[in-house]
Amino acid sequence: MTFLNAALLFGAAALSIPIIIHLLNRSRFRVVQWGAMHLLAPVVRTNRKRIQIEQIILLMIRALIPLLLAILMAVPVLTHMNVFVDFIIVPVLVLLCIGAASLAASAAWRWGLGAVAAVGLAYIVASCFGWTLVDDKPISTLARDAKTSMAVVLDNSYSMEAGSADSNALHDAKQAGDQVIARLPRGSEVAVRLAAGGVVSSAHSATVNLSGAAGDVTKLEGGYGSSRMADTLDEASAALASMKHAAKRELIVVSDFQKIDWAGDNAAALARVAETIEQIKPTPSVTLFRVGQPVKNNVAVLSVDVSRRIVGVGQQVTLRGNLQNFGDTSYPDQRVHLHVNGVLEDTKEVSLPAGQDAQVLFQYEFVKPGSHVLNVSVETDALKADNKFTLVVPVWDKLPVLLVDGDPRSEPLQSETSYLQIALRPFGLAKEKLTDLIETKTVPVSAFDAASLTGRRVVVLANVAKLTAAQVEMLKTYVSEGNAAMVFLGNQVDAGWYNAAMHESGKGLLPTRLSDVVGAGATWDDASAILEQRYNDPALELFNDPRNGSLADGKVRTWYKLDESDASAPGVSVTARLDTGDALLVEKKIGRGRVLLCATTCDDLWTTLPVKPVYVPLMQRLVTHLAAGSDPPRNLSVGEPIVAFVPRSAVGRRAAVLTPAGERHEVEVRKRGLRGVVQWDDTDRPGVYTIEAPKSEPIHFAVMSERDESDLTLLSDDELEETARTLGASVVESWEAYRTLDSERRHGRSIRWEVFAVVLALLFGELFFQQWFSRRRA
Amino acid sequence: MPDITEFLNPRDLQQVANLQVLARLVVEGFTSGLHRSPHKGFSVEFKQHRQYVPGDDLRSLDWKVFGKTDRFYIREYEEETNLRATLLVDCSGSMNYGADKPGKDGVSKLHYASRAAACLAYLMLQQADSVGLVTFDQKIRRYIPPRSRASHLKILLDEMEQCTPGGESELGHVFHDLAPKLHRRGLVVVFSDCFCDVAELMRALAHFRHAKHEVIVFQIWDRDELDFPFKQWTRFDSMEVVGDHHMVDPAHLREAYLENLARFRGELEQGCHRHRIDLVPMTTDQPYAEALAQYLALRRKRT
Repeated sequence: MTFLNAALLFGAAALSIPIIIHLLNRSRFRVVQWGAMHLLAPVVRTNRKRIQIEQIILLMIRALIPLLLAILMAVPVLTHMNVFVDFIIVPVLVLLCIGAASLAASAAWRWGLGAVAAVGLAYIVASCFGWTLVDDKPISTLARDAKTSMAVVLDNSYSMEAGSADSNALHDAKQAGDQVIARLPRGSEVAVRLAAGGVVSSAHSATVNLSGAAGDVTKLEGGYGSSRMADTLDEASAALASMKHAAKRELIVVSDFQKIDWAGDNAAALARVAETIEQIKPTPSVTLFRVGQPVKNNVAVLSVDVSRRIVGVGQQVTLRGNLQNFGDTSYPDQRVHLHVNGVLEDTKEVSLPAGQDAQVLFQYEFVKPGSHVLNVSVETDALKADNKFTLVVPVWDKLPVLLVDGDPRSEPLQSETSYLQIALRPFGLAKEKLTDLIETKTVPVSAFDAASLTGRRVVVLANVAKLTAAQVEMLKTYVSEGNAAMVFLGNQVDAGWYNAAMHESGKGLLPTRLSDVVGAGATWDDASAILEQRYNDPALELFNDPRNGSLADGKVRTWYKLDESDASAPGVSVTARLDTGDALLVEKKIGRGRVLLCATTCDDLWTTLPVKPVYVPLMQRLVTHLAAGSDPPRNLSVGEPIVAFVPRSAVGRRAAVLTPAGERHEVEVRKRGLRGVVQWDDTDRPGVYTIEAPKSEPIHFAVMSERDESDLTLLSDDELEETARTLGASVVESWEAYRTLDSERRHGRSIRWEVFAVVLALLFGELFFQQWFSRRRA
Repeated sequence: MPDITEFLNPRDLQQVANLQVLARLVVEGFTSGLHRSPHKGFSVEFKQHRQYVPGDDLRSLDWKVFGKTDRFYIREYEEETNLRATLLVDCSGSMNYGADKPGKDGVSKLHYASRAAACLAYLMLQQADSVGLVTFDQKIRRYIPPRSRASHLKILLDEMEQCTPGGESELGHVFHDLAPKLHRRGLVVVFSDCFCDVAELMRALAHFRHAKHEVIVFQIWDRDELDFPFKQWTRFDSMEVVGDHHMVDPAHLREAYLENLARFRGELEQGCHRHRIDLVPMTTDQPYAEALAQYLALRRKRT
């Protein structure tokens, strides 16, 4: 037996009230000097025992009434047969026996009934200690149409779609959900939760519209990502706890029970879910409904990597597709296709042995700037959802950079910016056929003017002594418009001017003040180097992989010590340090733009970095990172919100969002900072989303789900049993099996009205007994 | 010495005085209807012959016997009065019930009984009948033989005034002891609650009847003893036996008690009827003079 409102059980203490009244009554007696004792004494003698028994009976009845009222308010739910028999039926019989014994005319009856009552009492005491004659089987409800609260968790992850369209697991799951919901008794409540996202609109919040919910479940479509089973179960049990039919709560999980969703890390999460479910009182019955047939063979495109962070027009890009064969069939010549914007561009053949992974490389050159959608796909197999991987690549036309040289020379490699120029345009200067994305233009300080800045995404100040006030003002405007500046220091730098005009106590462009020059006369033997660490800055992430070179290769002999007292200001961050602990690269965000300060030179005067191979990728990364700015990502995981920046002039107008399901939604362009923003949160469904905002080209986003469900291995029967044990669940595999199970365990009956009836009966009984006892003959 | 006006209040006394003529008839009827009439005259009842001794009144010589036997015999007669009444007042502990009852200015059954007895004594002495008094509990406390002098009333009242209740009721035993002391046929009036064994009592009363006494039993009840109106938990302490008490919830016992009471009264009534004894129940809440008058009126009607 459980109680829905156990706190009110404390009201049972009220049973002491009649007892106290009784004791008070007895203690407040009056004394009468009585003459007619010869009339009274025999009456007392012959009635004493009877009166005592009568009073005990009355007292029991009076004490039972508040006790039962408390139980009534606590809403008792009967769950097991033995509880029903041991604590309801037997006590009632014992009470009846005692009552009958006290009323019985003959001694034989009295003793017989008394003995029966004593045996009954002994049995009740024994059953308190767990000894019972009755099976502790759950009570089948008397009414088969007891209203039910049901939460259905439907696994609609992409792995459920393995197989043909008419006979896959999702199809079976929809059918099972439909049957389970449609046969619920009228007035029942149902809530449906989808494990891989998406909403059954009519049953997301609990509904009594069973046919509507069942119909909507049948109409469910696939195309979602992988399932978040533990979270969904949590949601479902929360929904279940708040539903109104408490006597019978049911949680049904319809799934193919893939190993990846239910074992490993998820098993621990499920154990937590089991605890949550157990805390719902009365505990819901949990059913694991297994659907679908095992599908063995599956080949998946796990991911596609692009070789460049920013892709320019005419640049050759290497796409690396990672494939895996999850099945036990080998594919010696698996064909892999590359589609760009829906057009088949290339096909490769790759050997995929059973259980192995493989990589396939495509070279591609984008001819047009803008947002491009790439697909890498394999020939179809049973599970189509993971055969294709989509990637969105924004292609830039050019990335123009202005280099302001503080120390221009005519000799090769003597200028301050010579090394930097080479690093940014390696192919162009080497007269290679390959195209550089970055286009540089070098000007002396005197020629740094508005005209030279036009169209440049990044400006680099290299060892510039000082600028004019007009130039500083121009630079400020330029940065605040969303562009970027890099500042390299050197022997010509006027630190005082920099601190006064460029730092301006934190309000200027420089992230930090410049302090003293460190290591001015030092030899290369004493030189420092960049501290090797795990880089969190996206620009330096590349160097977390040692195959891409080590930043510690180059030595830094001389540098400006940067005063880091401003480093904690908002927008300022140190991205790299020397092994002495001094900051080397410090970045500051100013409006939409950014300024990156380097404590040393960009030529080989103070550091040997420019002559090391790592200099090229380092500079390329820094510049492209600065140029890429804070453009939001185009390739997202399922559930991540899509954010697109659009021109500020579009704010307040409406943008269209095209979803993979072919739906078109309108959202308003909102203002954020200096630009307009389009945001779309509902990305449960993987695929390509397109945002069409006014005054800009369509922007594509690829939302891809994790590929972990591509391993179609299901839980073995033993593992499924183990999972069921964790969740306290039963496993069924067919609709018939579920029906049998359901009729077996339709138990747990609210006995609120029965208790109410007993209370009423006791109230009348109390009246009756009182009258009867005082009237009956001696 | 208490005066009758102190003992009985004037209103009751007046009522009793009004009864007098009526009562004379009634008291006469006590005997006339049942036995030989007292109207045969003054000293008519022959008792015995005894030999003449010098100094005897010559008027009482039986000349007829002298004529036959030539000896002097004196004719002895019964006393001059025609009614000898003995009032038996029960002074046992149970008769004290009602004394400490709040509200009803504490009329105990004994108080009531002695008022009624005084009333009757006054009445009979007024008409020159002789009245005696016996007070008793489990034994006879005091026996005052019947006298017809008017001043005798004072003695009776005094005795009743002094009498304090106590001891157990042993009516049968007491009456058996008493019977031989009442030499001459007369009227025995019992004022008691009769709280004793009915069979024993009946045997004792039969003893009186056997001695040709007329017996009237005024059974004094308190209203509580008839109605048993107690509600809350009560400890009933016996008035006669110290330490005898019962702790009960009276509401549960009422029916059984009333049952027992009815049986007791039934047995008593039956016994009295069998022995031609008048059993007159009186409750202390009715005025005694009135109750007495009612009984006398009823009695007169019957004769």
